[in-house]
Amino acid sequence: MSLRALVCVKQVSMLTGPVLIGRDQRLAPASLTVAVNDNDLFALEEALRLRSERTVTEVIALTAASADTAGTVAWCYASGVDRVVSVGLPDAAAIDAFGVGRVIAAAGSRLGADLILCGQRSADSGNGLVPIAIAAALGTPYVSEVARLRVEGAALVVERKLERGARAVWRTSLPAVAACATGINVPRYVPIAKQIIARRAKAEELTCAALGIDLGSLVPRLGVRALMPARIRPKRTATSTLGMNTADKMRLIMSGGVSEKQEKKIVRGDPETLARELLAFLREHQFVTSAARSNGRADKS
Amino acid sequence: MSSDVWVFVEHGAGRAIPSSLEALGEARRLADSLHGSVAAILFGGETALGETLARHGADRVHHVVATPPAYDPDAYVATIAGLIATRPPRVFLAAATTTGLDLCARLAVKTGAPIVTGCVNFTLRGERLELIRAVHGGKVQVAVSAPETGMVLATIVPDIIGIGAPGPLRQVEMLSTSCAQPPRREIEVRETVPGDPRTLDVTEAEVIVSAGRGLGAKSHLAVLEELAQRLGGTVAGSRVAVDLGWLPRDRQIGQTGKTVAPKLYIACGISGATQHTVGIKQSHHIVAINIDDGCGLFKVADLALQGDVMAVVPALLRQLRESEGPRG
Repeated sequence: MSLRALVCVKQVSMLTGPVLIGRDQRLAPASLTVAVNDNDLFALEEALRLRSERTVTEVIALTAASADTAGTVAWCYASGVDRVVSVGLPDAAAIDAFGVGRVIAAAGSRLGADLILCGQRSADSGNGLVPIAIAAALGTPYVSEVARLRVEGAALVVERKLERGARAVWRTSLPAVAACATGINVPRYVPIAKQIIARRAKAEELTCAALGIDLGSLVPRLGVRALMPARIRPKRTATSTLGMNTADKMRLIMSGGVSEKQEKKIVRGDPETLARELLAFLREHQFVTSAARSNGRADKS
Repeated sequence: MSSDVWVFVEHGAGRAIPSSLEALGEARRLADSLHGSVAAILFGGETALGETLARHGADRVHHVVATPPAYDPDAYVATIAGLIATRPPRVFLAAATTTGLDLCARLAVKTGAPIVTGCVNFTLRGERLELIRAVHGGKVQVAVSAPETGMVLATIVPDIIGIGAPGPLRQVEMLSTSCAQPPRREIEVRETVPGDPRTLDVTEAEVIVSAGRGLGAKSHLAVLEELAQRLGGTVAGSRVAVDLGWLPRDRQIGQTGKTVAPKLYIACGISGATQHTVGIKQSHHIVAINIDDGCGLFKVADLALQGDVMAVVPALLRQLRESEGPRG
């Protein structure tokens, strides 16, 4: 079966400077650096692997943004994809993940993609919703957190990354949208020289109008009221504050119960005593079941 | 439209996972502000879990029975969508785990409700509910206004809000519901393969027992492997341990290796050079065992034990064998 894979590669704005928020509730451009979304590179590498296995015959990279994406386009070409398509989007404030999903779905449909691969989430906004939004707009199955994938006839079999290294094996039909988990492969190194050469190649341009999408219909479901620098929220903790003075209590509350690190003591004693101390610690934090309490603690100095 | 807050509760080995209890605690706070009640959605598990959920804030538990052995998106979404259709909540919360995120995103598509992922706080601005989510790696927060009416779905970043001490036992209404069997399935769930802690990638491990030069010899790794096995963790090492050929390169932690964020990091015979500590600073709990009193890791450790690794760890294993089993 010959498949055409479409890989969504987002151009992200990474916060590399201080958090400066303008009156328009946007981050100051001076604090931002444009880059290729790292998480999408795993999806790109997976598509190129499928092409090298001859499961996929053509790999198309698609980037959708309101800004100039020349750097991302060059990166994709230098990575070895067959085609790069750039879709112009309205301003970021006027579109949400589901709107972006609709635009990419329309482009994917136009390009005849059988398998759409994305990173699970972007490094800037990090919604993780665009992949399912594409699938919803196309009416195709969606699989998330994909650690490994293979094509079996007209079906896609994936291993999903769960907690503690566990994997869930899911099977679905093609066409489908798969969001690749972080760290599933080692994305290839793309030399700067190759990127410079690749800058000569231009992406195929698509617009929302050409895709038959009315910009007025892309209204976000939710409105952003404000941006603000991160504020640490006092963390609820089950740690007892009995016997603490007010300053220590405040430190504990503001740190989410980790202030004990500042209060730590080095425990000394014979190996059995140290082991008992460690066992009590493991029980206290529920790393082992508390069947029996240890007797006596070592002296803390 | 009610002012209720619903929480999807994940569980394993007879216990609700901590991030679900965290979401439940937040749901309680939110429901009190909205003058609503809290309902927990529990797929499978024992009814005895209801008591724990009540102590963490649930007024009602929708206990879904006859569930598939593992998370099945089609069945779960159909079941919850059915419950929502009868009495939609104001807010539907889930922990931002692999399953929680997948489920909420699918529910957003199914119900057409707006969704906010990666929330770290919820506030009421007048009558308007605001959801605060972290962006740009947590350096910036965005306040998103929920619609005045209708349900909003949200996922909560684990280990930000914290779990409060369980409250007194309150009366909880247990409602049993059968898991839906949708006629048309998009996804066939074939199997779930448990992770093997021994081969687990160190970045995925919740418990890491790490070796340094202070371990003394490669043959001593067997002791650390036994400890890791008992704690359901994996073995890793410092650059020195890797350079000495004790461990493969993919097990190296630190600036030139991998950055990890386990729940428990036990450093055995590691001096704690900055190049190593930058790779473990996101660990929830750090234990350092070292014979050297001036060991740098003692400064960042939650528990610092001055002693020989090869004396302390075997003693710990002996005590563990005598008294208890591993964490469920």
